Formats: sequence, C-alpha cells, structure tokens
Amino acid sequence: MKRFSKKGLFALLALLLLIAGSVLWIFFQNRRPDGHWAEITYQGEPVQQVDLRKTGVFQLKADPSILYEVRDGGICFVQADCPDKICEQAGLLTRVGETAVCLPRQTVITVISGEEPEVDAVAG
Amino acid sequence: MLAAAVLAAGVLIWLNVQKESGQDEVSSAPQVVYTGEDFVMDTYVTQRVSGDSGEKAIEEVSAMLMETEQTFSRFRSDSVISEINAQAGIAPVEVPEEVMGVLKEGLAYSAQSEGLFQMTIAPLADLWGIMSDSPKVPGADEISNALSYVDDSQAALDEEAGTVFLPRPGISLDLGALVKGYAAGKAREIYEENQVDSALLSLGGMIVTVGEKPEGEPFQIGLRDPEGGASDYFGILSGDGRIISTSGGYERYFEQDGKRYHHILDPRTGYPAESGLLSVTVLCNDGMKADFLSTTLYIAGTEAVKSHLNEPDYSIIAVTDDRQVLVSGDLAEFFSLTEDSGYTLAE
Repeated sequence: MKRFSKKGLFALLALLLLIAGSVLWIFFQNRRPDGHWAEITYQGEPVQQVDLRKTGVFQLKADPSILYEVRDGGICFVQADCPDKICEQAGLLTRVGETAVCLPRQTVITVISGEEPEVDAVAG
Repeated sequence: MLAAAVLAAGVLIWLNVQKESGQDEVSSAPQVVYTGEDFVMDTYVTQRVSGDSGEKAIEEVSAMLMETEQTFSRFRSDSVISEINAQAGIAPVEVPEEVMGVLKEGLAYSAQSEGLFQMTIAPLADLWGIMSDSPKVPGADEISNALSYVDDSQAALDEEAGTVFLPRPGISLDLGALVKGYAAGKAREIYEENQVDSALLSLGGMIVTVGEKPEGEPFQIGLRDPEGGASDYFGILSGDGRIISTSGGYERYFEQDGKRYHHILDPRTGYPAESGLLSVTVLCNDGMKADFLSTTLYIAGTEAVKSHLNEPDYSIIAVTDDRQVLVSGDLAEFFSLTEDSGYTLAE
C-alpha cells in the first residue's frame, strides 16, 4: 500500500476540515434558535429576536412608541401608541406561529421557536 | 486530492444555496413553501403557498388585494365607492362591471335579510365612530336621524347604463361586511388557476385553504375563542376545504361608563347587536356569502342560527353567551372542541 507523505496527510486533513466546517456552517445557517424565541418585524422586516425564557418589559429603539412584555414563556404588546389598541388585546403569545399585530405601527410579533403548534391558523 | 476537495466544497455550497431558497425545514416534504404578508384592507394578511407557481400566485393575490381595496374602500377618496357616495343626491356614477356585480349581490342579500344587513350603514357607523380615534355612544335622536339614511332599497342600479345612484345626499355605502369575503373568493380562484399544490390564506381572520398541507395532511384551523386572545381557540376544524368567515363583537369595541360597545351594528335598532351570541363562524364555498352570513347571523341571534344549522350550501359553528357551541350536523366529523375550552356542545 502506498504510504502517505506528510504533504498528502496535511492535504487530507485540510479536506476533512473543509468538509466538516461546511457541514457545520450549513447546519447553523438554517437552524432556528434553540428554546423559545419570538421575532418582532416592522414593515415586514425583522428588527429583533426575543428570548421568551426571560422576563421583562422593553421598547425597541426603532419604535419606542410600543412597550412589549416577556413573561411565562410568552410575549405580548403591553402598550402601543395607536388609536385602536387591538394589539394590546391580543394577549400572551406562547406557541410557534402565534402572532399579534399592531396595524397602525405595522409591527408584528411572531413566536418562531418553542412549543409546536396544534393548528395552522386561527379563524376569527 | 485537490480536485476532490474542490468538488466536495462545490457540492456543499450548492446544497446550502438550495436550502436558502426558501425551502421548508420539514424533511419529509420536499415542497418549497412560499410566504407572503401584506398590510391591506385595514388588516394583516398572510399567505403560505406551495407548488411551482406558488410565488406567482402570492404576487397575484397581493396585487388583487391592493386593487380591491383601491376600488371598494370608502376610506380611500379615489375609490369607486367613494365616488358613488360623493355623488349621492347629485348624479349616477358609471362603475366597472366588477363593482356592479358586488353591489347587485349585496342588494340581493339585503333584500332577503329582513333588515339585518344594509350596505348603506355608513352614516350609522360614522356616528358611533368605532373605527376612529374617538368612538362614542350617540344620543337616541342622533341614532334615529342616522337610521333614516340607512336603506339599501333606495340605491338605484342601472345595469344597462352601468351606473349606480344614491338618490339622497347623506346616503352612503360601506362594504366592509362583504369585501373581505369577496377578496377571499378571488384569492381562491387565483390559487386554483395557478394550480398550486397547497395554499393557506389568512385575511383578517377569514381563512382560505386549497388542498392539504405540504406535509400531506389536512389543514387544522383553530376557531378563535371569543373570550380569549387572538391566538386562543376553542375548537379545531380539520380538513373542510370551504372558505371560513367568523364574526364576533370581540373583534373591535370600545368601553364607555363600564359598558362594552362592539362594532357589529344592528341596522334595525342602530345599536351594537345584542343577540346572545359571542361569535358566528360560517363555512361556504362562496367567500362573499360566508362574510355576509357570519355578520348577519351574528346580528340575528341564537334562534336564527339554530333554524339555519342545516342549510345545503353553508355550515355554521356559533358560540352563545352561555357558553354553548352550536354546530351544523355535517361538520360533526370535521370539528372538535379543545379539552380546556370551557364551552360545551349544544345537543
């Protein structure tokens, strides 16, 4: 059997590292974050990901007119500077796919990872 | 060796590009799921579509929603409906066939609704201002005055001339109770024309589905718990492919002196409907009809719902204010209450 030279061994190691690195890179690129996370979007663009295991009340610099709260593994609109307050009435979101919307502020909260949903959409 | 490394890297990069093109993470379904979201018709609209023409279908539906709002919203000064309202008592307005079709159907609904449904409800809605920054409870005289303008039978449609005329200044159309349903029906047509494999549209609480989920199972649609938050549901509809429309006072309301006033006005009384129902869901293949029925049955009340549970062209699920759930017989195999709903199925 042909013996590998030092050069050959290094090349093989480099190839293996390249493959391993690429696999890991693809894997982490497309994975959702572990645990429970929500995403806040403004005009359809994501502006913040929120860890739902935490507790607290916060605003985003991008739009300080809205106050959010994270508690009990969920997230909700606490207070929004909008005329109809429908968003505040949406309640605590905890399951993947659940959303709440502040239409006048074009802001949407969506739970993106965590407990899997039982339903695909809610009518009403 | 070098060639092998380049080949391996190339394959890995190609795989990554494939994944980033929007492919769903569900490993059992090779289908690409396209998504869309819009802020239109005063609501939040989401689409999930799979199939070769999925992306095209989503764009066409988005464009249709914008056009529908532009044509039918009385809150847009450039809409056809606004033009008709502005010319009330002045002159007939020439309208596109599409508008004539919707108004003609709307008038047929109001004629058979025994006063429960009126497209000319705008003056009453404006008086209450429920959609505005400052809703208020109007006085009885104000309501009585507004009601004198609420009368669909006065609207004159001339199909030959293609015109619509409201004969008195102050009479004014609001198609809010029909247009989402109309748009939902058009969306379904677009999905079918594009032969999508699967589609799920949520249009401010109205739901359209085509086919099954990409994973190959029936869509599971929760029905909103009228006493809970926007994502809480009291039951699940599985696999019924009709368009779903739900109406309930919980959607929009204001409070004054400790009492809640919701947005579904009874054209007979001028006040928010107090009919013993918390919500009504209608399933129908005709989107506009589903929208009309869910609103009208909500106003009509429990007894009306009970007497219409077994109609041939639509089905109902309604929640009463004593927490009973009325369900059409043909839905028995498609609908189930959640365990902790707090409601009971009526006999």
